[in-house]
Amino acid sequence: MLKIVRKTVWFALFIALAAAVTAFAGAGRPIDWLKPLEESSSTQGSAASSPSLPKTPQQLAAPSSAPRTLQTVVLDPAHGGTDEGAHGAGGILEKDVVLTLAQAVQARLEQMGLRVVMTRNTDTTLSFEQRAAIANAQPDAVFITLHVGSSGPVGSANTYYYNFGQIIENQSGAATAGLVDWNRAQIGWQGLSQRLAQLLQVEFSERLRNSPELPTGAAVYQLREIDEPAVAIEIENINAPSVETLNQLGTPLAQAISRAVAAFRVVYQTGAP
Amino acid sequence: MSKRARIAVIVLAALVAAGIVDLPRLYRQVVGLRRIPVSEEAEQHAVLQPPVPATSAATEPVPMYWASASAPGTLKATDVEMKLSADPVERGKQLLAALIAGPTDPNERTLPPAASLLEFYLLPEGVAVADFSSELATELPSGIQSEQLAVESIADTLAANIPDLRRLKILIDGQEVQTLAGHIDLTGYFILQPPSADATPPAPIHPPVPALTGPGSNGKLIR
Repeated sequence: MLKIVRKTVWFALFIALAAAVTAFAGAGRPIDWLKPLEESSSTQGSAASSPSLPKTPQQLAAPSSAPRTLQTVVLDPAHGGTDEGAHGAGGILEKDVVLTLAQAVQARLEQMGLRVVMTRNTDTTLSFEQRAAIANAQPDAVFITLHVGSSGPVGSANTYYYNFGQIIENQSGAATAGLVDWNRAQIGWQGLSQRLAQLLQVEFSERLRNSPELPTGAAVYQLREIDEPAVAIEIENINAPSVETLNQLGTPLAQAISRAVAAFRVVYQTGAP
Repeated sequence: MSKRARIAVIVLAALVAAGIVDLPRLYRQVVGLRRIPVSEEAEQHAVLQPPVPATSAATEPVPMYWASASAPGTLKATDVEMKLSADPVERGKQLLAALIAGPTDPNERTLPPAASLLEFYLLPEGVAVADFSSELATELPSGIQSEQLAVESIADTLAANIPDLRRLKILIDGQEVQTLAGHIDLTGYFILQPPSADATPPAPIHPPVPALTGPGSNGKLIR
């Protein structure tokens, strides 16, 4: 028994000496067990460089290419509530003008038999996410947000669609999961959004003086989160001489939008991009 | 306890004591290793930003992109006589300062005069970072078109005058922001290329920035 204890003590002593020699021989060199610490540091740096990406992104089903029927138009009067939008020289507020214009468009679209969902009907504060949530809850819909600018000729209108350009999928894992991130929901709809924008802009060029014939691809943040064809329309200009000047644009605007949406229904139903 | 066992215990105790004495040195090594990536980045930064801002002796026509008074919603190039630095960082600062100073016709202005450039950085792979004061957002005329032209004028002016710039990140007061002033997306990187005759805005890439290996990576938006 004593022999076994002695052998065990000597064996432990040998192991301790070997470990000590190894540790001192490796002094001054990087130590393997520190590697996880470095990796952890670089991972944190990567996360910090992309703060816009949520840790657990909300995701949506990728758009289907199956034939569908356009049934709903989601109209979004921009701004509202504490967010007044652009201020005109005569005290005109963008949030009020776009609500009046949206209501004119709503009436016209409903006459066509389309269902219209307004993101707001009153002077309410809504975030981009809340507006997107309303829009994304509507199946077979298009999204149109109305704005008033402050730099173009009074009475003209410009249509914008989100162009992701040469974007390469980020590393969110969305592609493998068959889902898209909430803040990139528009990426699968870019072609149809561009087509809707083209149809709208042709109508505007014919009905609203000084409007260009082609829409503009721009990085309008609000459109990123919309999981259906989506455009932004900016009517000019908040510095119009009176609010009546802008409100009178409601009729030609409604006519133009209704004609463009009617034409777009065919495109949408056939599933053509 | 036998004599050998006592010796073994003493040796083990000595080794433990030696380890405790060595702990501060190990701690310094850990701290040193943590600092290594920072120092490498600093070295790269120093290489990219040589401290000699050689300015050309004579003035040269420098294309600046401001709004077109005759075609609303578009930009046009206006040549301004300037002495540009050979250092790309200094050159970027000069260009953006001139862009903010504005054209002779105030109707062609794209950036508010109250705005200022806080810093301009050049990172590896041709990534430019322009950090503006908050007035760029707060004093800009409200609207999608105004914001789009502001971003486009910055991107086109830099791309036209600084070779090898590939991407642009715009910060406000040193921070990444969601939008410039409520409309245009600033969360990503704008792809740069020297503007063509029909100047169009760049499209953003969203982080992480991918390698520019895909076909046709100019990213110009389609009108």
